[in-house]
Amino acid sequence: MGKVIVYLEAKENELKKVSRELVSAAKLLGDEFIGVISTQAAEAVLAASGLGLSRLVNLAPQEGKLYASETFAAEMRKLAEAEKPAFILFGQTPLGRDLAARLAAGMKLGFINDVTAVEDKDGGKLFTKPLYAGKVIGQFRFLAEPPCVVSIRPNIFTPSEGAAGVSVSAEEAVPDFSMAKSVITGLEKKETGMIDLKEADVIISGGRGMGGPEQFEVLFDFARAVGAAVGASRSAVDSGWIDHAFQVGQTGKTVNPSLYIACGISGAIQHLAGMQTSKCIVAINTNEGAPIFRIADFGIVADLHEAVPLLKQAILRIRGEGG
Amino acid sequence: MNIVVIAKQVPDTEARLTVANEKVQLEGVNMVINPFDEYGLEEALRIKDSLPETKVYVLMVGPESARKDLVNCLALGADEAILVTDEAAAGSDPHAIARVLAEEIKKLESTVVFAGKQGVDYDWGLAAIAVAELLGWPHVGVCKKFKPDFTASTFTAAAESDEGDFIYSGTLPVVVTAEKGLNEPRYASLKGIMGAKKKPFAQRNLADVGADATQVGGCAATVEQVRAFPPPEKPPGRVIQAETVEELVAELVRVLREEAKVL
Repeated sequence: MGKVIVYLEAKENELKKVSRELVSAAKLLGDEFIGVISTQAAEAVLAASGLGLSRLVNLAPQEGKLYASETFAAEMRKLAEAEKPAFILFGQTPLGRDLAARLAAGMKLGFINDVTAVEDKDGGKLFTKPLYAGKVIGQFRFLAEPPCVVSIRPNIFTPSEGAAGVSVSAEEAVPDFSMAKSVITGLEKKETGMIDLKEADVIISGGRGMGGPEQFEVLFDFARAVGAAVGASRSAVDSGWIDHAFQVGQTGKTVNPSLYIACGISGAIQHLAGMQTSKCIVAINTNEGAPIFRIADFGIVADLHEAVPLLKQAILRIRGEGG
Repeated sequence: MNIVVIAKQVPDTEARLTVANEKVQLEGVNMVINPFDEYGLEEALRIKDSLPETKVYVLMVGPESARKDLVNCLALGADEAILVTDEAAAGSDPHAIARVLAEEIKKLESTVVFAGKQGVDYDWGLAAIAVAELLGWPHVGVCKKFKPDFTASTFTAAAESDEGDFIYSGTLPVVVTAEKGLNEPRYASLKGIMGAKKKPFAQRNLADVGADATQVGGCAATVEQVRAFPPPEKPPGRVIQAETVEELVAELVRVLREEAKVL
């Protein structure tokens, strides 16, 4: 076993859930963990410092300079050359995927992304990664010398609680943004309170059966009340009813919540590919012949506009009883 | 001004895939241009629409059978297609593909290189970023808005994140990897289809490109696919039966709670 560098991420003031999952994945790959984070939030740094790391480096963002691939890859490279880790781990998140690729490209490292499982085989490690959005599963191993770059899919590995009583103080680093020819200067926030599809525990998704853009409000209402994320099928997105950011499937997002509720979704193969690893799939559709019923764990043949509000009330009632 | 669009051939997203002998079976599967690359091409063509002196090149490392896909790019409005096809490129990892692409791109003196954010086959999302690294250019990944200023040699861009849109600012030249939503790709016109066959189409091998053969193909691979297998089959689901919607939902909630334990 050896060292693993983990690239941790904060969202607003909190450590992202995937960052805790990264630490669990790192434990399958090494026995000493070095964390890198980039945040101004003291709470996130504090949470990271309790994850059982031997070092924690904070690449502090600056006013109007939040991130630059070239800069962060250079910082990660310096750290990798000093620490000589066996693996460098990222979450398969917008910034994680970006930095993992730029770092691997610059250092010409072995790279396996979107990993869902790690196992030991013949003294080495095998990495499982869904292919074709999950229509096929692949297993890979590294041929390259370490360090090797791995990104893990969110919501798969159990989040690490950290190490009680063990804490490391963060080293502040000042990233050199002057070398970067492309910089993230700001973040245009979207509606607050909405849950990220990739990390969501419950997703309620709408398809062509929604009937139009306004009808998605019944899903948003459910999502706000229950604490779920809203998704959509490609046909709903291509009809212009909802933004592509919500699309689940092969040209959208791959998701794996505990509960996926497909409303008015027929179940095209490219959609199923993006959500079939959900723990429990529910289909609500008026067409009992829809292919979605074949992959759903439970289905009801009903009008979603009637069923979804009833489902919302029922879930709220259960929660009111204290689960 | 020159713009290069990187394209890849992938199985149609509507295709069902099977596995035999631990390998994905692609024989007889309909192959298409990677859907994300189409957004890259459209963005290039929109620049050409506003600056007609722009030349748009489409570049692919792929099999001979991809010729039809590149001809379709020409029909849509690209000016020239370059297909690098060579048996020795088989088994290349994204680093090696990037080396070949970068060699070709260096010859074209381009200002912007577009690609898809990832191939919908292996979802690596690495080759285009590795091209940027090899060229010493910046990149904008998963781009949903791109505004170049060719006079000032700068750009601004937006990319989706889980908290909102990241706003990028930088200098040209740049590699941009396209997200769905960057634009709405056009359809080929009859005139475009008729004219496509007369447009320049170069087919090259690795020696023509000038790529180092020891750095390409399976011998240079940094990862190895050990096997492929189909996803675990789910047991057949249950369609709940009841008289009224109220009863259906009540029974659904009961099974979600008591059997699936997800509520």
